[in-house]
Amino acid sequence: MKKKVLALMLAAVMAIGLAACGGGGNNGDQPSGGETSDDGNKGGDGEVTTITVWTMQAEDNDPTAGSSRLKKLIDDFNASHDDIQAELSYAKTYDNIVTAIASQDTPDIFQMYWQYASPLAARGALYDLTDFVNNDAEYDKADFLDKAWNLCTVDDKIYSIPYTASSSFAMYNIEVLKEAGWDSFPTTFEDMIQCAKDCYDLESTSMGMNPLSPWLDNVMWPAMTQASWEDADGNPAFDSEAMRLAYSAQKELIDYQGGYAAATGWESDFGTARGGVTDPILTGETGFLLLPDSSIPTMYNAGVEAGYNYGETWSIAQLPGNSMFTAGVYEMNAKTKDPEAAWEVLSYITSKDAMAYYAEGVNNVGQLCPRASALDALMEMEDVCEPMKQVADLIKNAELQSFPMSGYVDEYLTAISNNMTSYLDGTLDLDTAVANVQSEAQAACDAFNGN
Amino acid sequence: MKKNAATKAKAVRKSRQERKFFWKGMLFASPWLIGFVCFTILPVCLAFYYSFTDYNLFNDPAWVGFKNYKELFQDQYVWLSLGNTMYIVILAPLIGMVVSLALAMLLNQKNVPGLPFFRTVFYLPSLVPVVASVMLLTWLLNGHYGLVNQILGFFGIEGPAWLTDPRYTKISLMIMDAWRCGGTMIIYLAALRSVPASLYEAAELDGATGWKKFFRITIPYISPTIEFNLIMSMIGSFQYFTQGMLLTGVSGNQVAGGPSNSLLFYCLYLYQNAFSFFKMGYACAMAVVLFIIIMIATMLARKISDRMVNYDVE
Repeated sequence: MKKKVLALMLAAVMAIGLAACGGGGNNGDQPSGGETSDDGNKGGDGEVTTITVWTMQAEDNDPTAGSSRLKKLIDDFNASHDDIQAELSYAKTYDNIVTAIASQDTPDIFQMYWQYASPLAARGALYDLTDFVNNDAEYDKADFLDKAWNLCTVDDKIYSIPYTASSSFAMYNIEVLKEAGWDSFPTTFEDMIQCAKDCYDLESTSMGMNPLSPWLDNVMWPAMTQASWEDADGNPAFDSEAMRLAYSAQKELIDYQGGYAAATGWESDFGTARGGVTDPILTGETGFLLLPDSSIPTMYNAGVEAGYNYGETWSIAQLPGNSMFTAGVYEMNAKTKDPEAAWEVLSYITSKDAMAYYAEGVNNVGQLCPRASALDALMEMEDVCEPMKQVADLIKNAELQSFPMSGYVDEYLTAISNNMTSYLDGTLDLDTAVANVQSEAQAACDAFNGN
Repeated sequence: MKKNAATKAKAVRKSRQERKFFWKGMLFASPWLIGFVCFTILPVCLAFYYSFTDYNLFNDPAWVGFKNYKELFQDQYVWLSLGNTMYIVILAPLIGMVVSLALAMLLNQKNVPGLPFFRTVFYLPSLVPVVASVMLLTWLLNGHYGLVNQILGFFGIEGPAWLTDPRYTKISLMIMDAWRCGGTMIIYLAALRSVPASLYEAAELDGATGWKKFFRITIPYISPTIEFNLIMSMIGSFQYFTQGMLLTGVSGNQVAGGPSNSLLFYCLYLYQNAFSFFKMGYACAMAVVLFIIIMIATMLARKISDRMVNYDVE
């Protein structure tokens, strides 16, 4: 009898354990939903609707970190709302999020990389935010940069809300350029190539301009020659004169500076030195580099530490032709049970005030945000360095390009990366590489369109 | 006749008791069994089913027969990634075995002062998370500032661009794996310590030298351990993913294969298809093919080892 009771108890413990492991399809590792009603989280009178927010950022003790700022915004929202409560989960990876939204209504809101808006929207995974954005006068859609909305809009419908903005700029050593005969940074693509060659020819430099960097390899150079990746019908249009000019100029510069192995070697050698006191731009090891805005604060601080002052030793400039614009975005799960409540949360954490707060950035060095008002606020911040204010102004006012929002964007980018890298390292000739990209992207496009 | 009936009844009674024990055993084993069925058998069966479908995670899978498999064999990146993976599968277990066995031999010496300290030091790298190891690797193997090239420089050797030259990228990863061989080393050390000293003493009496003792006594005696480590390492190499992903990851979630796709491993390409391209059916077909390859490779390894491994010592 005693044994039977013991066996039953063990079975009960096991069943409870297994039930706990399962966790149900709704919350996974989420905190409990608070006072939710039977249907999951739809609130009624006196009931609280719980909205889950997943961030890719890790929890951080630093109150100025992005995740800490988001937490504060969520806390403020919860303090000012009785009927809706938001719950934040940290360190969610891309595949965590994708598998979660494929099968369940959690998370309601999540951070995502910009290029997945179109593939996810096309597969019905995202909630269409168009009406919310257009009909919420207080939200002030017009305050967002148009170029940011371009990254959030698929077939005229808004599926994402941008919360960070980014672009690339030329960061150059003033003295090196002067020594090479350039009083200011060149304003045309052809001049930029010549300037790089002139800088390389100097005794003091080991590289005029690093022509390699993964993201830049893919699309930065065509942006400078103002090539476009798709035609008006949404088909890949990689085989164009502007595209060929971009990559052939890049290859020419690689060959001029010692070949692909030398360029990759230089990238390996000096890539890790960036942002420190041995940064190759600060030390004059190179004439200039094309780098994202996120490099600026660390480089500025390193310059101050080592006596390389901004405006005297180094400076930044807009790229000739055009540059790429990207953004970090929030999206809403198509399966969310209460879209109105989720929008309340989403609009709060991307409101004017929220973005002005977010724009203070980690360690208050500044973070580019896609709202014009946030960029204006950043330009007034005391702790933000001069070059960061300069790029805030550029990103606000410059015409910047984005990669097309197609449903096969990742396959297209991968095809470009695979084949054009093979062209740059000499494995493929330009015609073959371009033809390969065109055919691989077209195949992906056809497969996406069900042809 | 009566005796037979009694024996039969006893056998039936015994089998009832056995059944009782069986079900009790099953009850206690059920947490693991349920987990195994739900989280291993079921996903394997589902992957097999999805491999015959066009499935993108978000929509219902549509049956396409062998289309994914046909495409897979025509996909140049599948062959490229398989080639990169085979490079690791063939070399990494061998290098790992040589390094960890050599370390275990060194740490198995008697009368060496501070032996526990050295054992701890050599085991420590295996406790370092892979992410941290890869970060460390990028510094150690940096062409300009890296310690490895600086040391080579002392001997007048110009070190290569380990992380950017396609000829050296996979070797870099194998160096890192060899550095993290503490776990395997401990297994070898345990095996070495189980070799009876009397065998060496007898061999010495017969005039055997150090190498002879190593090849005639040590290796045969620890051959089951070598077999186990080699097979596990081989399976792990087929599933090579994290190191490649960390070393080649570019902006956003975009998966890249590193310089000239030299680090595009099979599992990395599988992940790319599943989560970047949302071609889950295709990725499942790749997983099924990998499963078959691993199964065949393991069977072959077992077949070869049957001739070479000495199980008499167990």
